[in-house]
Amino acid sequence: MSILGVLWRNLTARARTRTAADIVPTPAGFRGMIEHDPSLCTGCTACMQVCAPRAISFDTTDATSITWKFFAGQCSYCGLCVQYCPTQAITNPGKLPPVTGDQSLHRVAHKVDYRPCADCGRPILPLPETLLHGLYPGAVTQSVREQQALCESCRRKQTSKGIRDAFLGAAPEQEKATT
Amino acid sequence: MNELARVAFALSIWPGMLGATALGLLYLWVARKLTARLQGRRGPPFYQPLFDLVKLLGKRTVVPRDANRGLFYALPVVAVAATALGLVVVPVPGNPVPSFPGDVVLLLFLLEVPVFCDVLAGYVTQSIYGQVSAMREGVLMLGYNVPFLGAVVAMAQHAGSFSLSELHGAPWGAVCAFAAIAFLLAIPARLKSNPFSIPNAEQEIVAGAHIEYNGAPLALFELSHALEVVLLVNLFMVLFVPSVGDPATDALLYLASSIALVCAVTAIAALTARMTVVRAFRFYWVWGGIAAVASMAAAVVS
Repeated sequence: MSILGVLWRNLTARARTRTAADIVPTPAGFRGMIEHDPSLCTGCTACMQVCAPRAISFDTTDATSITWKFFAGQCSYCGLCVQYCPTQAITNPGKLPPVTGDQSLHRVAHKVDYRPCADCGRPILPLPETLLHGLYPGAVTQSVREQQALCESCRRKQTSKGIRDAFLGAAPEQEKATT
Repeated sequence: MNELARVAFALSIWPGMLGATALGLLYLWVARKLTARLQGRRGPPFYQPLFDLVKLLGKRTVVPRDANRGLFYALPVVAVAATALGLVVVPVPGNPVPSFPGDVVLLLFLLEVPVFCDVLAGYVTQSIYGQVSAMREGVLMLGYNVPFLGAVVAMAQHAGSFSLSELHGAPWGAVCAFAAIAFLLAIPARLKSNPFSIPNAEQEIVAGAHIEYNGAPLALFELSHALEVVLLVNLFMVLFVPSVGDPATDALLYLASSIALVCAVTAIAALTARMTVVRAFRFYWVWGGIAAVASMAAAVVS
């Protein structure tokens, strides 16, 4: 009787049920779930703009930080965000999203903190240290750091003041106070 | 210990609710695990039947609009109560309640109560599936009781008594072999397992008589099923497995043979497909009838 043979084979062989650990290895060049490095992120929102399934979003409601948000359940793994990220803050190391019924494990939120402008105190998103070294290779001087600690308008003011001073000489203190 | 305390202990601890629930859940797990392994699956962990029960107990009960509320709630309670009382009657090792003349008859009655509850549950919920199931259960009951009652009555005739303790102590004879065969023939149908899973035929009439049951009442029906397994196993042990004398060996023998019995029923269930109700009925009246007549004849002759 073949049914007895089938039952015996089932009983003696390993169960056909697979656990999450039995997952097959991913092929070479597999993109998988993206990874985001908040220390490289400038909050430019390029990733959000190119994300067709809207898996990436930015939360800007907080006045002191910006939050990068990603939901793997909505991601199509197209890799466009990786391609468009100007600072390589987003990479895809070829990892699969975790096999789970808990959706919270498929959601990632990274907070990138604002810093007050050194002059006027307005919140600004500072350029990450690694980017600074990329922009000014071997020349990250004190003046560069001071400039990076300013907000856009303070930096503009400082630049025009520098240019004017170069042509007219340093303006006297009283004149500055009246303008 | 006075009489009342003994009965209370037997009813609540051993061999009643607590012990039998643990054993019944163990048997159900053994059956599920073995079925899974025979089908090449992994099978549930040992605590799964308990988790199922607890989960059901925690759910809100929805009573069907046309159902009689009182009956809807009473039936599972009666089924559990009858099975628990039946457990007290059977003189398994460690049962503090003494056997009394005529307890075989009481036990046979108590064994039928959960079946009747199932039949009534099928009708009371007003579901067409439940009604089909109830009808099937009623027909099947008239079938499997032929070898079942035949076996018990033949053993009673053999022992010359209607007291279970005397049936337990009866000497071994040809009648025991015939009666055991007849008894075993009836067990798959009593447990509603394949090939006689006709009343609770899944994928066919959904879940049978319990289709409209949910929450705590369904948990009680599941519990009564677990207790029923223990009760039938206990009855089998008392009728056909003689006592060795040493309590520890007896307990071990009891556990080993009961699990062997559960495994055998499960293996048969995995091996076979469901019969139609007509074929099952014919099977019990022909083969069950032959086994019953043979055991009765052996009891009368010896």
